[in-house]
Amino acid sequence: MNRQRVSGWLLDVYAAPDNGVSVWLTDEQGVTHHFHDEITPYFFVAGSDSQLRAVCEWLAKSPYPVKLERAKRHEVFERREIVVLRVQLGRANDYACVVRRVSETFPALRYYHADLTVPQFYFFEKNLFAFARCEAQVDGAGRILEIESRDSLEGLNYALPPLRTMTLEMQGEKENPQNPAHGYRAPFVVGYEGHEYVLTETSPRWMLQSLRAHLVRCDPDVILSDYGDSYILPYLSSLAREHGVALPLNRDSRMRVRSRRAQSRFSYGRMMFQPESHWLFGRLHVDRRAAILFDDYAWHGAVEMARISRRAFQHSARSTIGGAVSALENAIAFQTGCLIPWRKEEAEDFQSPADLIRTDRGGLTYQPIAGLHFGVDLLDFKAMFPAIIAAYNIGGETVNCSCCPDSWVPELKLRICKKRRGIVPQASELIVKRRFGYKKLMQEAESKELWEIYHARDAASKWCGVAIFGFAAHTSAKFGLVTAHSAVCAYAREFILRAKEKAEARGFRVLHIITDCLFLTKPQTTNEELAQLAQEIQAATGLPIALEDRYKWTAFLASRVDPRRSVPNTYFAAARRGGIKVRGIAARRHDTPAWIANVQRELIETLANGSTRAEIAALLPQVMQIVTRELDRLRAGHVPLHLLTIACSISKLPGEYKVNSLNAAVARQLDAHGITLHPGERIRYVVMNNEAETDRDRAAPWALMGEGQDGYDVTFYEERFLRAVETVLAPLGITAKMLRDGVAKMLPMPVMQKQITAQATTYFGPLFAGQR
Amino acid sequence: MGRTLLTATLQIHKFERDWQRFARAPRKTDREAFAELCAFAHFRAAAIAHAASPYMFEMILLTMLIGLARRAETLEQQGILQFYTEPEAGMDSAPLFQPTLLTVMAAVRQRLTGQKHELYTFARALRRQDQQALRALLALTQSDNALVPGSASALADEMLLTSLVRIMRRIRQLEKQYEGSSAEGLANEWSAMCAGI
Repeated sequence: MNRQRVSGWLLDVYAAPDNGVSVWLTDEQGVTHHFHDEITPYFFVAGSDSQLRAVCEWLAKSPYPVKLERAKRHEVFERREIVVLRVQLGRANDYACVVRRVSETFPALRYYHADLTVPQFYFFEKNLFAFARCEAQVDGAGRILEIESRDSLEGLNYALPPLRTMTLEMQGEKENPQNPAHGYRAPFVVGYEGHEYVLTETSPRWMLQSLRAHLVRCDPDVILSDYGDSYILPYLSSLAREHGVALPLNRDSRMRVRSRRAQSRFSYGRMMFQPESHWLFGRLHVDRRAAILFDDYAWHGAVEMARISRRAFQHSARSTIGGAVSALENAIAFQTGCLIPWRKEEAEDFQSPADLIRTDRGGLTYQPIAGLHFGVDLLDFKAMFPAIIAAYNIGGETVNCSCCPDSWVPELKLRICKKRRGIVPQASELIVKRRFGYKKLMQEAESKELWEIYHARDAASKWCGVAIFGFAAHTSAKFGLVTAHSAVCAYAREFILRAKEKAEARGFRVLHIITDCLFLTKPQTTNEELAQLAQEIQAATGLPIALEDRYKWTAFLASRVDPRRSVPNTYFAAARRGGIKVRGIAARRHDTPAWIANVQRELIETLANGSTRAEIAALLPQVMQIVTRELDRLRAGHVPLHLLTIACSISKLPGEYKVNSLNAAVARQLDAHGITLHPGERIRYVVMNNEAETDRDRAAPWALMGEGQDGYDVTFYEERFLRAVETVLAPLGITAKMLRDGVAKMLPMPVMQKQITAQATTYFGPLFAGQR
Repeated sequence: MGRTLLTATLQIHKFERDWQRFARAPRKTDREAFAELCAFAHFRAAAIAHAASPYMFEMILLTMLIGLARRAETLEQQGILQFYTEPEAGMDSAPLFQPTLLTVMAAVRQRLTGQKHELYTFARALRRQDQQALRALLALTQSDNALVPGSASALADEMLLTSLVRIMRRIRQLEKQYEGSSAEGLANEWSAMCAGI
């Protein structure tokens, strides 16, 4: 038999149509190899002897080839080995179907390892992961005889294969893409090797053949699209079927493009929308608009996420961060020989009312002292929550164990196991190590490109760290429990209080605390003193804390509703090393028009040139100049429409709105155009006349705006603009009335415009001005 | 993830709703005084949360007392009244509200007799200046202090809150009366700039 060794990176793994798995490797020359390997997934069933016998009898009569055996495995919540029935499938493709049918027939039993995917089994069994450097020995028929990883999951400075990437998007402004699923139409643009090709759709058949030629010529490993999941791929697939053109979107010609339906879900108090997804086989497709957090950590972060979670890349890119954390925990449980529960059945322990009051608390947030403060320093615990989980071994199965009677959680009647390492703490440790490792690599990076790569990978690890804590109390967190979540919060409260006490003992004034960071101020403080304070806190808590930044000044904002109250995590600051930091204000909100966000940033950047009260006072005329300049642009109609678009998520179906909000008006218009909207979906629009009675006149959906449509509601945008300016000026003691009086004096509205924007019933034009 | 109980901030909002007849008082000064007292509680919500006490009303009252004491301290520093020290003859207003404030404090303290641990955790989570104010209030309401009437614990919730609103109103009056030209912020600069346009 003709054997050969192939070295490369693992590009794609999926269940093959016949049996086993298809494995795609990319070698150092960028050549892609397609191999076949065998995998036999299995799952476990737990129950009484008679129940398990009944399952065996049922499976023996079923058409599925299975191998049954009695096994003993560790059950994490029972903290002991239990007897289970191991059901090994003869065909990989039967896995999901057999699990479903058995669980439907025997719903009272407990199932383990029952919701893994075939690629996950392959990765776990062969100790591989997405983009792992590996070496395979294959026979002449392309069957893998042996495959070994030459890569380590702990590795940070890993290389990636030379990938051929093709972009697929719709023509338009790149920074301002419009959603084709909401009616926007433009020619497709294909890009690769530094060139872009516009595919005009004068003849669909010709366009498809042209795209086909590009796909064959480029043979991309990765297709990066904008709205590819929600529109481009389903549209092209359907058009190709209609015109009988074989479009080689998949490299594996045996497979059809796999799609998953769009779904809306309620999460963290708001409606979220995941558009339908389209997976390719043999090459990877990522929709930059739909992939989770792709705008934050981009390609390198997405790769890091796939590696951490040990899932196929396309699966990882479309999953939530909670899903990634869950997959990582599954991988650790698999490696350590623990059973992976299918559905969490662990209930919260009973607590007395007094215990519940003590337990049911989150981290500590101190209301800021509103106003402008000079010389503010920010100390921040690094990855506080994952670090606590890892350091104190807090997981669902380690809380309230019977073997460690003396390891109490601060303030709470909870104990933590010291003898057996939990699965969640192991996952946390991996994430924390990666975060600190990337921070170090970023400091040592020799080029900006390298720094950006590490930064993107660090961002992915950071999100995993955020989710691993929050996810611990989620109903679908298999290894988490609410009590474990409460234990982490108790440690976090204790440590932030110790940090506060250390700071106050050194004469610092605490301005604001947000769970894991402290805003402190002390006149004439030095870097050395702050470093000493950080060391003291680190010694008192055992957690790494660092000086995040030093600010010339920081403005903490008061509530608009009640100026006596301050609002947590809402501030802007001018850093000593240059630049600004903003949180919670219009410039950071997703629904703020870009024009307003840009001006607000510009105003803060202008004020950031001042370091003292007198210097800031001297900058006020400059601030007013910006305000009047921009207001003048707005009133003159010179602000580009795309900078005035408002992007909002709709919370319900268009027909379900009872309040006639702008969102409702736009959703109804899109619905009338035959566009299917889902709760949680994001819509963009321009407000035309907020006071108008008809939806069409009130606001225009951005995707449907035609050539002839222009104009916007000056009053509406002016009001929002002035509010954004007020936010910046309020901490300086300049009230809304003072601002508006100043604007009215400096930039009086022309009489005609005043009449247009007045709340009048009819405007008769300039000829009749003053005669109404 | 989902919480079973209301957070401290939501508990304070609930308190405001429960006592909204104060928020709708006929006199504007009373309404503003009550709003300011609630702002004291909001500002110290972290300490209330950290105390984890089932005595939410008393904890909120305690934050209000600390807020009032801090404001009274400020007035004392400005020489407007004497709060901690013995009032001199002819000194404005101090005798009017210091005993009342201490009576409320004593009542709260007596209600929280069984909540020593909660009181300690509450105090620990306060900012240093607030801790000092609380320490002073506790010192002034020792059981042997002549200012505290014996029946303080029997005072009704409404009476306690009414007393605090009155003290707040008086402090605000004093502040307004002695308000100098040193208004905070850059309002003067702004006005000068606008005047020059």
